[in-house]
Amino acid sequence: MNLNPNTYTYISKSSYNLILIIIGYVGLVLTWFFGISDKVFYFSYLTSYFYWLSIILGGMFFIMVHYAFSSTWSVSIRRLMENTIMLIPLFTLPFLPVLYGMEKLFKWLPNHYYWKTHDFEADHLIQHKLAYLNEDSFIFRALLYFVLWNIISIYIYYNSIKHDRTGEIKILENLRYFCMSPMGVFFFISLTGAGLDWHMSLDPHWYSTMFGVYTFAGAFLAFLAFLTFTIIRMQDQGYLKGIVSTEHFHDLGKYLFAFTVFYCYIAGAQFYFIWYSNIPEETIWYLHRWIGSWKIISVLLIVGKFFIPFFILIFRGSKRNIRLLQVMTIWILFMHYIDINFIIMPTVHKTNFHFGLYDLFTMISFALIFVGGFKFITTRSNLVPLNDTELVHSINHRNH
Amino acid sequence: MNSYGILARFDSPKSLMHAAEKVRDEGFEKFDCHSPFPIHGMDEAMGLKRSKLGYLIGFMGMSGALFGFGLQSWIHSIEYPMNISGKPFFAYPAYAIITFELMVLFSAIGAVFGMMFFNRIPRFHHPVFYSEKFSDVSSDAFYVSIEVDDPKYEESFVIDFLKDIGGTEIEVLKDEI
Repeated sequence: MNLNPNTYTYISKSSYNLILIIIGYVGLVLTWFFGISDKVFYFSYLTSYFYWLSIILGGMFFIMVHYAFSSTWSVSIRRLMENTIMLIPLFTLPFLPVLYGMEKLFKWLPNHYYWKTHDFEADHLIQHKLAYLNEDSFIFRALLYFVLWNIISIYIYYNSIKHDRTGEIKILENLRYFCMSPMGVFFFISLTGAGLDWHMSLDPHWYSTMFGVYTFAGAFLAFLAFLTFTIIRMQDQGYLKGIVSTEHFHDLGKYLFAFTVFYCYIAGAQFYFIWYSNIPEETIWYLHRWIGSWKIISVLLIVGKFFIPFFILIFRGSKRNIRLLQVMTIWILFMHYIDINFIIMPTVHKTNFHFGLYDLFTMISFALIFVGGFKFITTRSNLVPLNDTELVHSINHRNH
Repeated sequence: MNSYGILARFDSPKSLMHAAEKVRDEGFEKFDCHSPFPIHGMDEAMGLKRSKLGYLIGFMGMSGALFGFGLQSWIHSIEYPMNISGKPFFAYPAYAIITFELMVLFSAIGAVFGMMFFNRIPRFHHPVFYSEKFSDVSSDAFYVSIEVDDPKYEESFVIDFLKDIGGTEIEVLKDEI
């Protein structure tokens, strides 16, 4: 099979992309500078930061599953996943403002502003959780997560590129063992931990055993939407023609549908358990999200993140209609932002949903870093792993 | 004696698939392929339309969900209102699980019986079993059968055609009784 090199060589000016990344970082620093003493800034920052980070983490899950099961159909889109996870080094440093603003974000710290007027020792529930929720262990765990994520991304990416050059089958075997090894388990523990540490502990009285899965479901759905959107965009620009076909879009559409249902299932389960058992420190979390305009956001989440994608993506025709799929990916990415906002922001905007300048500027800055970085990394290698023996199978992949 | 149709044997899944494509292209509509195992791509080779079963299951699922939700709402808020830990009578979050379960139950019933309806089973006998050799189809034989009901059916023409496309051991099947 002969492929046209124009379809798998991505061309984009490196200097232009580097400038995008730098503007992004400057934007972040400037926003931080203006909001350094404002507690709202740190919540907005965490929202925007985790929105983009979760896309990368979802990609990390997908690529590990791909290697662990020696998946065939996704070989032709494998490199795009690897490019996405290589953004982790760019997103490691931007975690610093979260650490800096810890005492404005997390109520379980004794020097949080809330305890200036209240008695910290008297809060019995938090006292019991201090063994896990304290400054040192929080920083240590965050460090651990980032070290792990960087190791996973860099190992997978560089070995895959090496396989592109040399074509040694041994490298793919090593990658499979790497992803099948405890590394997959560690990754899930780290993702759960990140969800618990950065989102659930914002309201330290509240707890949900479903929360790690909730974080994962959101992240993976967002990544799938991002991946599908990127492939459609690249095909519009003339790349990946004859490599990624309607069959791949059909499969990605199935994934989007499946994880829409999965998200609803676990988010619903979390809600029903809390609703049934009716324990005050648990129900308060949902009560905060059912007052003022947060109620509209909650309903929007149920309708927009489940019912709309469910009833559209359930049909075979809509999974194979690329334009409709593109609209759905944009919608799902938008709903993912609403979801992250719904988890984090009610802690600070207690009565009403609010989208302010901090949210806007941090979102734009992170988007610039993400898009610039993604394009920059994509130009470094071929868009498809040319030496992979399964590539032909992937290109000829059919849904029966 | 009426005949049911004509049966022709092929050697491999591949030749059966090519035969099916040729039968389809010739314009036959009432024909069937018999093989020991499912063959990927056979639907397309035979020119079958996509199954309507999915729509039936969707309809059954929706009715199940509506029925489950309606049943609980009616019982809890009209027929037999009961105070459960101070929650409102029309406590719709609590209905989600039974709604979901009835949706699954109705879809499953729709799927099983719909499949049986579209496949016309249970059916205890079929004219292809009048053939002595047909029992090989459960181990290593591949058969194409073309039925009399087909508008293009004409015995001598079909026999020649099946020979042309590589069929062996061609036999005319007699119909039931």
